[in-house]
Amino acid sequence: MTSYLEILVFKTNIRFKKEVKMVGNWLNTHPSVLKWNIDLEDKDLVLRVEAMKIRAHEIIQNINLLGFFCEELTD
Amino acid sequence: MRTRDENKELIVREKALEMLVLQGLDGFSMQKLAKAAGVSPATLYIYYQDKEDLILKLGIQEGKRLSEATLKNFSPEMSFADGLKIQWINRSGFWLENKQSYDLFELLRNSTYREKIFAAINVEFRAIMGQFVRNAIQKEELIPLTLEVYWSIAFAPLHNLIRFHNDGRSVGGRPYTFSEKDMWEMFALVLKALKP
Repeated sequence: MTSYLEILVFKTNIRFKKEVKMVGNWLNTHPSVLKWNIDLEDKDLVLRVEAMKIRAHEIIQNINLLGFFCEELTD
Repeated sequence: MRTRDENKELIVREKALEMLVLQGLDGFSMQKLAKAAGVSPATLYIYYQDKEDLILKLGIQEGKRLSEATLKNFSPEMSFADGLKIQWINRSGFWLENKQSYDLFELLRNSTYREKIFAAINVEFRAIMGQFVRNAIQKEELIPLTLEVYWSIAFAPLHNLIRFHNDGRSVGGRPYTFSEKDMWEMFALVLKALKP
C-alpha cells in the first residue's frame, strides 16, 4: 500500500490555548501527524489534522482520553 | 480518502471573494462560507486550515493573477513610453474587469494580511519592474527618482481614475465613469512629467 497524505477534520470542544497545548503535546509527538491546527474562531472548534496513514478513530480516542469531545466532521 | 474536487474549490473561492468583499473581514466565517458555497464545513476544512489560511491564499491568488495580467505583452527591454503604455493597458484592464479583486485588495491593504501577501507575490514581478526602470534611466528616457515618487507619478494617477470609477463618484460626489479618452489624456501628461 502506498502511503498518502490524509486530511481529517473533527468537531471538538477544545476552546482555550491551554487546552490546545495539551492536545498539541500528543499530536506533535505522533509519528504520522505532519501538521495540525484547531480553529478557535469557529463554532465547531474544528481540529484539522494532516497525517500519513492514521485512523480517525485513533485521534478521537486519544482526544477523548485527554478529556475533550471529538467527533469526525463528514460531508 | 477524500479527493479534492476542483469545481467545488472554484465555487468556494468565488463565494469567499464575494462574501469578503460584501461583509468584510470580521463578518466572514468558515461556517457562513460553507453554507453560501453549498459545501459542508468538513469540505472547507479539507481545503483550508482556517479562516486566516483561506483569506491569505485568496489574497495571494488574486495578487498572482494581477501580476500575471500586468506582465502580459510586456518586456523590460521596451522603450519607456511603450512599456508604460502596456502597463497602463494591463493594469486598467485587470482592475476594470475584476472589481471584486480590487475590493479585496482595498480590504487587505490595511489588514494584518498585507505583509504576508506581499511577501508571497512573486519576486520575479518586482525584478522585472526594477529592470524596466533601470533600463529606462540608462537610456535616458526616464528621470531618476525614488521608487515612491516614480510610482506615484507613473501609476497612482491611473489608480485614482479607477478608484473614482469604482466608487462611481469623483471629487465632491460628481458621478464618474472611466473612459479611455481620460486615461490617454492623463497618460500623455504622466509621460511628459517623467521624461528627462
